[in-house]
This record gives sequence, structure tokens and C-alpha cells, in this order.
Amino acid sequence: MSVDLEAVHARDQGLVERALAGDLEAFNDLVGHYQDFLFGLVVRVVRDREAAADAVQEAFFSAFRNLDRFRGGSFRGWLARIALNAATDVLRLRKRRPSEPYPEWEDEAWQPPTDPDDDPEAQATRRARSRVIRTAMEAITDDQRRAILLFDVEGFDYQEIAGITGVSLGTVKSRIHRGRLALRDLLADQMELFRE
Amino acid sequence: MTAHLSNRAADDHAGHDHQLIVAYACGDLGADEARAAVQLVEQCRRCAALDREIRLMPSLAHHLAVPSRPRDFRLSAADAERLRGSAVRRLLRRLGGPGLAPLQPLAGAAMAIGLLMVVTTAALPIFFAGAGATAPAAERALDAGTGGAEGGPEFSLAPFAAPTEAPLAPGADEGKSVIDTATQATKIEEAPAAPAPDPALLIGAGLVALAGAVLIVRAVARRATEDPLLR
Ligand SMILES: [Zn+2]
Repeated sequence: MSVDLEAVHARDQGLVERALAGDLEAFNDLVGHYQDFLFGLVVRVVRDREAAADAVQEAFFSAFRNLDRFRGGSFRGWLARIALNAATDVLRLRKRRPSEPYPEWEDEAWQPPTDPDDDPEAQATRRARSRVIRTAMEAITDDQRRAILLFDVEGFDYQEIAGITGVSLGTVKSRIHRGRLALRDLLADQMELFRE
Repeated sequence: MTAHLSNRAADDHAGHDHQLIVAYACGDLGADEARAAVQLVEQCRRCAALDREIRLMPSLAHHLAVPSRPRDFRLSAADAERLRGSAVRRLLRRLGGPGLAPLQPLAGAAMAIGLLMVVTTAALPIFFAGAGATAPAAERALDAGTGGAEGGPEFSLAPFAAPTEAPLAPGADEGKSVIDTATQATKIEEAPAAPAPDPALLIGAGLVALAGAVLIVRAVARRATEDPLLR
């Protein structure tokens, strides 16, 4: 484990202990450290801003109620597991109620931030890349998407992903391999867009 | 001819192990499998392209834009109060929580020891008494003389044995009846009250009850405070 990671674990453990002793500020410090990460992860899974926000809020509520059940190690991973379970509930509910409005794909909120130094062409390319990736990510299975987000975007290792998603190491690897292969096939005609 | 060759290459590639190439590109192969993958990548243009493109995938996921967080998720004091719940709920959480988790194996061990004590102190003597019952019964049958063949208990034979005995003088008969009455009275007085329970049996039963109570309370408390998001 890297020194940085150890320091983060030690900081989180200290905050957890203070929160367990009744210090709400300590818990809110943890929320402050992880709310962007958690929202970014969940919104890419449920693809709906408001539903993702509700799921993340539920995840923090659950973490607060169950803080005494955190066994040490990666607090970030523990939170991710709770939040992905909340995301699963959102998706399950949506499947049962297909009339619910579906994600706002073309909403401005989903567009990459604009860089004032970018020329219009670069901005257009960034938007196009984001749209193409979003569409491809939409087409792979939910399990593959989660594994790829956790590994490629959030930087968890296989073992951590196995713990977060509650499956074996082999299953994690298989989901990532199949997910990447599926993405590659889906993006085959648009690979030019990603060449610098 | 060229078309024929490229068709053949495509057919060959269809038969190549694409998953092996993907696993190789992800760096998840052992030495032997990696050698087989390298061979394919070196010999097949399309396997080489697959390898290249799979290696690109991790960076592509970063192009996925994410909408900004719509609100702050910090908890208010009122949220915290509500989430902590009532005193009963807090008690249940404590009883079912990990703080008391070490009690579980202890309770399991206590239950096993208690059951063992109950079995050895209560059941085994009954077993041995049952096994050894034939010998004393046979002795009693010999002692009883006539009619003792059935080996019934001594007191039950007495009324049948008496009439077959040689008639005694009226006085003697009266005397015997007085003696019999006195003996019976003594027997009633001497008949042991319910035997005091074996202390080991009491301790064993106590251990079983206590351990059972601990396990049941933990299970009920855990069930009552279970959080589906922690599944
Ligand atoms: Zn090939």
C-alpha cells in the first residue's frame, strides 16, 4: 500500500472514530472528502442526476447509521459498495416502472466542461467523444459498466472491486475483459475520434 | 489472389482466441498464456489491432463527462438525530452490532459445553441404569424364592408370597403382621425424597439457557436493525 493511501486510511479511521463518539462534524468531513467521488460513480451507473443524488444521500445516511460496522481498510471502498447497492435499488425500481422518465442524455449537465482556451473544434471533439463513450457505455451490461468504472475511472484494483461488488476476483476480471471487448466493438467505427 | 489471401486471414482471425488477446492487453496472463498471445499478436494483423485498441479502452472511459453534483450531502443535526433513532432502536443496534460480536462464538461454545454436561449427567446414568437392571433383578428373584421368577420388585411380590407360606400359629401370624406394618412404615419413612439434582446438570442447563438467550437476542436485534444497503 502506498504511503499516500496509508495516510488517507489513517485520516479516515480517525474521522470514523470521532464520528462514532458522536462528532457530527467528523462525519461531515468524510462526506466532504467523498461526495464528489460517490456522486460521479453513481450518476454514471444510474444515468440520472436526481436519482443519483437520492441514491448518494441514502448511501451517506446508511453509512452514518452503520458506521460501527465499518471494519477498517478503505472507507472509500466501503462507501462505494453502499452507494452501488443504492444505485442497484434505483435501477430495479426503474425497471419495474418503465414509465419513469429516462436519463437526460443530451442535457447540458452531461456535457464536458468547456475550457476557455479551447477552440470551437476542440470543444466539439470533446463533446463528440463524451457522447460516443456514453452511448457505448449504455450498451454494455450493468455489471461490466460498474467494473469498468471502478477499475478504469476510479482506480480501484481487482481485489477491491471484488469486495465492493461482492463477486470473485475471476468474475471481476472477466467483466472487465468482456466489457472492454464490447466497448471496443461498439466504438470500432469511431476510433478515429480518440486518436490525438 | 490478394482478395483470396485477405479472406483467408479474416477466417483465421475469426478462429483466434480474442479473449486471450484481451486478457493479454489487460496484463492478466501468466507467462505461458502470454507467450501464446504474443505469438498471435505477432502473426495476425487483426489480433495486433485488437491488442492495441483494448489497451486504449481505459483512457477512453475518462472522456465520459459527468454532471456536477446537484447538492451538498453533509448531514444536518436533525438528520443525525433522526438517523440515530429511538433509545430502543439504539439498544437493538448495540445488541446486534459488531461490538458484541465476540459474544457469538462464546455463546456457541457455552451452548456446546452446556449440552455436553446435560447429556453426560442426565442421560448417561439412565443408560447405565437400564443396562445394569437385569442383574439386581435376578438377585431379587432368587431372594424372593417362589414366584420370584418374573423378577418383579420386592414389594409387589409380598402380597402373593404370603399365602403360600406355611401356616403359622394365630399369635405368630398376628405378630408377623405387626412387624410387617412396622417395616412398611419404616420403608415409607426411609423412601428417599426426589434426589437432589446433580450440580453439573444445573450448570449445564444454565449454560444452555444463557447461550440460547444470547444467540436469540443477537439474531433478533440484527434482523430488526438490518440495513439492505449493507447487503
Ligand atoms: Zn487474429
